[in-house]
Amino acid sequence: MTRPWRRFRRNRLAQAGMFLLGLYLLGALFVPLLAPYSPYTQDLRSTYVPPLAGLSLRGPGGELGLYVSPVFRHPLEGVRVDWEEKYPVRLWVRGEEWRWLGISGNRHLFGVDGPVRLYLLGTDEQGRDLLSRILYGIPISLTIGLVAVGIGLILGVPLGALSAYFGGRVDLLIQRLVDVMLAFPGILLAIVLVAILGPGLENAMIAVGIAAVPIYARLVRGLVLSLKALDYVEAARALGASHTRVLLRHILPNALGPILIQSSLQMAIAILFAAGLGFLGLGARPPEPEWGLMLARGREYLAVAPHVATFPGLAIVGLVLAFNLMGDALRDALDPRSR
Amino acid sequence: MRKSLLALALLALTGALAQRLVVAQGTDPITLDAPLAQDSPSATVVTHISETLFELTPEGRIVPLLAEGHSFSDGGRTLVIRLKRGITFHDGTPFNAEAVKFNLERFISRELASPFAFLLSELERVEVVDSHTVRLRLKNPFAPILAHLTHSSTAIQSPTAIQRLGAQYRDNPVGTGPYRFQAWQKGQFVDLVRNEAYWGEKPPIPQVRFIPVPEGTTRVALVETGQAHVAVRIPPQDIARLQANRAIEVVRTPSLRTIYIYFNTQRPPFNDARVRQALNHAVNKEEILQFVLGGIGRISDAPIAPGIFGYSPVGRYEYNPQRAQELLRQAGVATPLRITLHCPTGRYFQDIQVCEAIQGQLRRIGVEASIQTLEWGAYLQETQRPLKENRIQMAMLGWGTVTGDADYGLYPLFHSSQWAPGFNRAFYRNPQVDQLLAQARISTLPQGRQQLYREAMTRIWQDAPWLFLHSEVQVTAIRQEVQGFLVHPTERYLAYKARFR
Repeated sequence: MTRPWRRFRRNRLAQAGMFLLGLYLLGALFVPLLAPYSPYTQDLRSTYVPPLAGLSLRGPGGELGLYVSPVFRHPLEGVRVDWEEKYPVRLWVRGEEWRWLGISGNRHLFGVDGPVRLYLLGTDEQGRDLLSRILYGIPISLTIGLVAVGIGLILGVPLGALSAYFGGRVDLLIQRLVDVMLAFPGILLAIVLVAILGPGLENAMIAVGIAAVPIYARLVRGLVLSLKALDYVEAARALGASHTRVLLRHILPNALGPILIQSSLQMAIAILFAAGLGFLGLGARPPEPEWGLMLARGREYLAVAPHVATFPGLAIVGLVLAFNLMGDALRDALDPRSR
Repeated sequence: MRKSLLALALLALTGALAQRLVVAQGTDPITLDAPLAQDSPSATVVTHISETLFELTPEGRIVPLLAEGHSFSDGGRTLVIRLKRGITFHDGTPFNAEAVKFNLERFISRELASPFAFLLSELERVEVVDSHTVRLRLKNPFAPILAHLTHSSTAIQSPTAIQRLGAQYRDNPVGTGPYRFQAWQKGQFVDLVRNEAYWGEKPPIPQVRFIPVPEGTTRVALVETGQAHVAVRIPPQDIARLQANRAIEVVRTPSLRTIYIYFNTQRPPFNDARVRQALNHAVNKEEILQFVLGGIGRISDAPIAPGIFGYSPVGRYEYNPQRAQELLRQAGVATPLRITLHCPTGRYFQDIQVCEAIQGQLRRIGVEASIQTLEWGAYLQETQRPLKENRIQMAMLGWGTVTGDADYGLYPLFHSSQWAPGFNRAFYRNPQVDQLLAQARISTLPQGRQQLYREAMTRIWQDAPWLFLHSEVQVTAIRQEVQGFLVHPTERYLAYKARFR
């Protein structure tokens, strides 16, 4: 087990993937501290504020430092910055109250000491801080990925294993079902399922998870088919081991590698699909800071405020890329033949 | 040779393209059967195909259209209408007194169940006097009847087509209008072609296409690139850019439309007037008007907009979150209060944006609204369900008082006889309001009616069956090469006087 791990660690792609994913995980864990504001606080007087607007390097008396001035945007008249007023950017400031994982507080890693707001990535159509919304979107996307992959695993792995192990009619039945599901492109299947279940974030997770079931079922079937023909399985059975024992103790552990690789890639797909559903209005509902939804709302204002769609888009790309890199690296590490 | 042929074909193609006017509406029509077309995008298309007996001019005058003239007698209980001669429907059926009788009887029939039946609820029977004269017998003298006969839902449609097509008529309308129906690809376009046998002044543009485009910025992109000639409801943040574009003209037209969010007043938590008042106090309408609508519009101070007969300002719910929270406490409502807010997308000016702003403001008083959007047809259907099946807690709608008379702006929306599937979708019931509105219908003295409406509106305002928002201004982008395109205050976009430069 150590050799694959060493291979994995040395892989440049794996390093990049782990680094990216690490950033996201850190972000997810410390969201309320990193985000200067709540993702829901709106300020209609400052909608579509461009990134870094109102920021200056000199204070009211000309002293060096990071200062923020109030930024307003009237739909007809455009952006106006009130440079007369300036407030310093501080670390570890007191700000909006938050509750996170059972802990509450009001400190933020950085923020403004004064009655203005700092918009590092600008604001969206409701004047909400885009940086805060993107940060609060990380745990949402990670949850979607985990839940969806979980559903895929829980349903798909037993289906595939039973299908291959018992063969015959069971195999036929399960595989035709899988065929039907595979006949639809994944995203389409998810859309159909959401249409049946009703739109919403939870249902989107379930739909994306179910869409992953046939992929796992096929993969595991192939693995078990080749494994069960091996001599050691034959030996275990000859010694009188039960079907359950043979499957759980002797076959599945040896299929874990490919399942792990698939799961990493599947995380990426699930996150992408869920964002797609959010984009189509079938996933998360406003005002949830879900990236797909943010992208959809931002798209309407592409001509006026391209940043509103760009940053959520980049956030999706980054997380999907992280999982894809990890998946590829895992494959290289676990499967010596593919090198 | 081949090249020139190609060039010729190309020329012919661009020629053909130039002959068609493309109008980007926010939503697709729901039906093209006039009495059932309950929204303006449907009515806009219907108006090109089927005509009414009378017409409301943009200046607000009522003039004959298919009618030649009219006279009242019997103390206003009888209305004789003389019809224009020599008009035929697009399918060749002659337009005559029989056709009018057929249409008006169908209009008020229970089988059709038109939500607009209230327009002619005072109509007792229709008599054919001669081939081109009808006599309308009314139960009571009915002040707004001529105004109601200008309403697009009362359009006279071909009786033969209606009888022949049955339920399919809604997709194949036949009228007497300047354009005839050609094709309707649901969700894609409605195509109309010029009626070459039109009895009046023939429209200069031979083909018109209506396309549904819910996103404001996409509509803007379509006019900017010339793929559409007209785009309705330009988002405020795009106005400045379009005004700077010489190829496009941005037209502002007043509108008789009021935007509101109604509550289901029969179910908790909104069966308590204090909760409804609390929400009225919790929404900062000034901020929404300035920063979401770009100052385009007017904050409501009555259930109907100025410019309508019977309007008078009756109040304001000032923005006061403390008062809102206090009212919620008095009503015994526990916060956070979770509710669902239904919202259309693309139907009204900045509709979803306004909803999201309200969602954020309600959050401040502990009301957590989740926004539910639906495609426009499905949306209207949900709001229209009878009380027992109706799942809506609060929903945004708009009402254009297209007859210019308060009866149309109040009776269908607040009289308890008009509960959904009628237009009273808040299921509002106040016996005093019922009485005032009924009285105002049959009163013939304008001053008396004005007084009755003022009283009714004052009570409605206090009961707050709606979250009162604002009245609209129509902002339309029209490409320079199109001349004479008419944006009517009743929110009809009319192509039949338009021409290409």
